[in-house]
Amino acid sequence: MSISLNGSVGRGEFERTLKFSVADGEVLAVTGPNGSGKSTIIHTIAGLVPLRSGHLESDDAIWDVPDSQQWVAPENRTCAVVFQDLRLFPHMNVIANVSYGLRAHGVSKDEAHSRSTAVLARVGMSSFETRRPSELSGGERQRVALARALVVEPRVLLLDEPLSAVDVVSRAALRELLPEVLGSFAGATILVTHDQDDLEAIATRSLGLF
Amino acid sequence: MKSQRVSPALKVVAFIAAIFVALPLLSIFVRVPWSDLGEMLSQKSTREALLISLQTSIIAATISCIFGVPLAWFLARSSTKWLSVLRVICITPMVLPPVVGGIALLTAFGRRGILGQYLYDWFNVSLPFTRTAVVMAQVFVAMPFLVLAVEAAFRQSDRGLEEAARTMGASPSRVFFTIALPAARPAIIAGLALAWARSLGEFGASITFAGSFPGRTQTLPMAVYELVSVDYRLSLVLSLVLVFISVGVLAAMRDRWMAGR
Amino acid sequence: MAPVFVDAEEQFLTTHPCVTNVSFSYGSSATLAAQIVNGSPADVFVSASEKTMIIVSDSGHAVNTTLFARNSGEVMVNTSSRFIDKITSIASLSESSKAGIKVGLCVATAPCGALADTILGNAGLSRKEIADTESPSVEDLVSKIEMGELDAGIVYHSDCVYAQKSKRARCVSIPTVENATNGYYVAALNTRNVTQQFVDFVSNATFTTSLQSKYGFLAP
Repeated sequence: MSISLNGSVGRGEFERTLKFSVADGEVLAVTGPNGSGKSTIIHTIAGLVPLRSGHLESDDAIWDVPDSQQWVAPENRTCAVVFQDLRLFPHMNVIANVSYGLRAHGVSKDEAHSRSTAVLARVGMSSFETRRPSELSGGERQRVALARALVVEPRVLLLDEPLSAVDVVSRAALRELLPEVLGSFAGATILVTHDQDDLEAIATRSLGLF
Repeated sequence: MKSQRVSPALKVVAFIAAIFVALPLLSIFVRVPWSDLGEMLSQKSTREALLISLQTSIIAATISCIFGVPLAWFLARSSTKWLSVLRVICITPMVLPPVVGGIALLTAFGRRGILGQYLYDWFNVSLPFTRTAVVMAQVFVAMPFLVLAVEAAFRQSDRGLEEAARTMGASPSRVFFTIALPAARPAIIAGLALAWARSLGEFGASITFAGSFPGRTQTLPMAVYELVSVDYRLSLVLSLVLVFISVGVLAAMRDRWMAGR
Repeated sequence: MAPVFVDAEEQFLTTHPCVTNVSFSYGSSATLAAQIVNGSPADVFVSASEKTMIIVSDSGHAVNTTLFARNSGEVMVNTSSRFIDKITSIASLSESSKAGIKVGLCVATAPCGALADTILGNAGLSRKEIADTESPSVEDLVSKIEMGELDAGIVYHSDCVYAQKSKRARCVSIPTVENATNGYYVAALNTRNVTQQFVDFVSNATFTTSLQSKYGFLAP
């Protein structure tokens, strides 16, 4: 198992108990209506929010066990997130955005540049390297965010509503791109979505929150 | 675009307020001895005071930035119980009468001061009446301006971006330098300009803690003060220089400050 | 001169029952003179130098002027200063400057500063070699010395007499060949009755003698 969670997530009236695990190569779709806490799961696995109780572990490290005070900070977890609001860094261009994670891990500027270029090619954004996020369309930004998460070669890829902020035309294109990209992704993927079509096109398993 | 109609009564009140502030400033322009301006500006005492003012204020603004930005970050991001108390303390010099600030500095760092006595007894370091003291006085009164401006920016900054950076593997300090700091750049520049302008105009704390000696610790405002009763015309000239610099700083910042963010 | 008039106020009011109130405004003679020229509503002006009195009389504001006392210079040293034993003369102030002594003088435009400049000139020294800071008034200089922020300064002999009582400062006298004096003048600024009464009170022999015996001033 690449990632396994068994505990309660969220706070107060939004707290819910979950148990699931995802293996390498799997794409788990977490579905449910808006407000059912799907994003919280992503944030908890990424380490931005702690578990209420239980444990969260990857195959090579224990990430969060509140009762025994075990905690791994987000920057030390081998996962990468594509946020629902994308969160591309506005003061950096595309290539700098994509290279950010590699540079944070100590990769040299040149190597980070070439690896980022390669990943941008895979998502079809090769000629956009020096553009700023503000100059891109919704669909283009989504691809850059995806590239930024893939380039660090995480064990766990977390996608929060990857097709929600995109227009219909780009959606169709992305719905084709994602399975292709995820197909060659070696780790586990957790995909949060409320759209049934996305689920069927992309996921290998699903977990419903109702 | 149709401009909004302002009531005549409001216009009168606004006019009076504007005149009250503008008239004294314009009067300096009117009464300055323009024909002797060059000769007075090149006088040794003028040049010395101007040089000391520029040197100390630039150093003070830089120090305010180096220490003030981390302080602003701390105030914006930490959640200790004493945060509001700490914030009030850090901002207090802004509203304190400057001469009181000077007395406070003397009480802390003077030769009999709470910390100063050890500096003097153990290391033979005497801070009052030195140019270092001038810079200290300026930092004391000016840093709060920078801290206030930058803290506001840090508070309003996009935490989501910082979270995203963390998930990419960036440590908190890398997040600070690569994400938070660039985002706060406009506020830092504005804070720096304000801190510099305030340092340049500092008088009460500086003259109390650092004293005044031409060529050593006498800044432009101190020179003006001394000249008022001795050579009024020269004091007008020096005042003009200070007005120019202050107006210049505000004009350069007008896009940020007046037009809003 | 300020402490003198604080004490004198009561005396004046007792001997002049028609007067109900006397208010004093203290400061450097140069600043006060400038204020009077600019229209300050004072009735009487007491100055510590002939130069500042001339400013007032030249501008037509003084009805009459009288010299009523003199003062000479003296070196005041803080009793807890490290240099207390080393300060024996004007020259010693300059000798200790490398060792880190902090010396203050009045600004050259104030009467006590002009006096200090004359004394320094007699001793063959300049301001720059001696001073670390300039005070706008002698009261400011004295308080800094008493506080310990300055080791020494050139003040008036009368200030020394006063300070030695408090034991926070000691004085080193200046030999007459180097020393100088300044004059204290009182001027009536208008022709009111009360004004002249106060001027007479100050110029009166009883008052001027008490200045010498109690406060250390010199005869006019």
